[in-house]
Amino acid sequence: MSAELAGIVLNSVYVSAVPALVSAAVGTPAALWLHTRGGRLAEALKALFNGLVGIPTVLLGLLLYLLLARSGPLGGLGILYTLEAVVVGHTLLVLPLYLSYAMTALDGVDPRVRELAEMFGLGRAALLKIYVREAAGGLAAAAAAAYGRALGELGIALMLGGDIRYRTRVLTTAVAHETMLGNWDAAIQLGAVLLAMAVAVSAAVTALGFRYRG
Amino acid sequence: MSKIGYLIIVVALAVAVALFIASQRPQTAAPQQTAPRQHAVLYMATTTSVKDTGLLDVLIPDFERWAAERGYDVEVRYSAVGTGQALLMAARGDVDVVLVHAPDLERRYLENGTLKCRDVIAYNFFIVVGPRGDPAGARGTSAAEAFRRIAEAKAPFVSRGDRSGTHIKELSLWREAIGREPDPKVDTWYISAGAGMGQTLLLANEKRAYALTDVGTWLRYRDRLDQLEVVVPAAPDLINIYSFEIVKPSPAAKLMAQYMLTRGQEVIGNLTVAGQPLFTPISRADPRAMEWIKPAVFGPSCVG
Repeated sequence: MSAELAGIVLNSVYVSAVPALVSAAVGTPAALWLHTRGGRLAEALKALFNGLVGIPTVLLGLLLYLLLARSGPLGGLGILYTLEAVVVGHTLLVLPLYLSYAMTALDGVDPRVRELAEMFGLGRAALLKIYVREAAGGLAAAAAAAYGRALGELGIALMLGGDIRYRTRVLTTAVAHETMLGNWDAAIQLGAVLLAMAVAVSAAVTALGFRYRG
Repeated sequence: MSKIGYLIIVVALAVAVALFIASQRPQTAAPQQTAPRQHAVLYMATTTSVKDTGLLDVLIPDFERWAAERGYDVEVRYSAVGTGQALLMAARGDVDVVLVHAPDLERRYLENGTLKCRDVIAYNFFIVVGPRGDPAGARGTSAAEAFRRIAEAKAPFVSRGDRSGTHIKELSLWREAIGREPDPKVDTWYISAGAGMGQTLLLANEKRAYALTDVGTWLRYRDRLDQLEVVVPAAPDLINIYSFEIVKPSPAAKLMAQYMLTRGQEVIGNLTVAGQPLFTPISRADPRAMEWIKPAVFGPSCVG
């Protein structure tokens, strides 16, 4: 069981860490751009992302299923029932969440930072760097939240991954599978691992945040 | 607390007592009236193939009506899992009756006392389906030979992987074909889905893979499975026998057993897709099939 469990844990890390990292890589510049641009568009987009944070995962799963199925428009890729399909689904799921949190974190940066930067005649690149540094704790928390959401997600992992043993089984689908088989001990153990993985990352981010603030 | 607070509590208690007495009165006042109908809830565990074919959707409402006509108010609540899980639920005492399809496994649960009685109610056949073009060259052989060729060609095969009756049958066919059960860890062509019959077929369609399925679910899903076709059709060694069993005897459970062998037979036989029956009720079994079923008839009957 332990070798299989290791595989399940690795799959889970893959389908949660990659979407979180992609969100951070794509979302941070987007959030910075929207924040410094300001105005109505930024406000409207922020409202949209806030709304998308609550998108029902089965709906996202269904739409992607129809897209990726053999008879669907992207069926030629043949990625339905693979971990890659789950990664795509989770990325779409957590990107709005990351953006929403990141923009809130940037809102929290002291507005005088911008004035000071302009006063010293710093370039745009330098200004953005200061923003990232000032909001680093919030951005890390946003990435951790994105990771946690993807880690604990069942609907997309089940619909797009298919819970195939040794291949696309992740912690959440394994918990569901063992529960349905009546193997409650195994389900509880997997649940404990899931909880530990979620708590460990957010604890690490929080600790880093404290250290960063001094 | 203030005086008003005490007053509110006293009034509330008085109202509660008054309501309680009022609610008791009709029952104590009218004991001579005909006894109210007993509302019985019957918990049932069954297999995904029975649900995915739509059989439960017609069988259960019809049984409830049939029971009502006989003065019994019975409500059936079912959960459709694999046969293995259904029997585990029975062993835990979570359900009153089961409808399953793995005679060898049923025999064990009958012997250990989980199942009190058993009636074969219907049958159909397992078939092997596979991708159009049959890359493993499995067509026109027996099921075991088809499995051997699939393993040899390392052609993708989707297994239920959920201890269902179909999964149990599939594993016994693998033992016959290649002398062992495929290991999804090593045999990368072997996909263990951990899913119900309908979803397993959809997965096989996506992966252009082979699968073992019951004929009923295949017929029900066929128009969504454009990549698949029948490779090994129904054969005597692929017979799939469904039986009804009582776990906790009660009048309602006994009534359901009676229904299964009378009116239910008609309902089961009338369920068709494009004119093809999904199940053959035992009352309509032809003599040849009866010979194949005979070894699977054992245990005390639930009726009579």
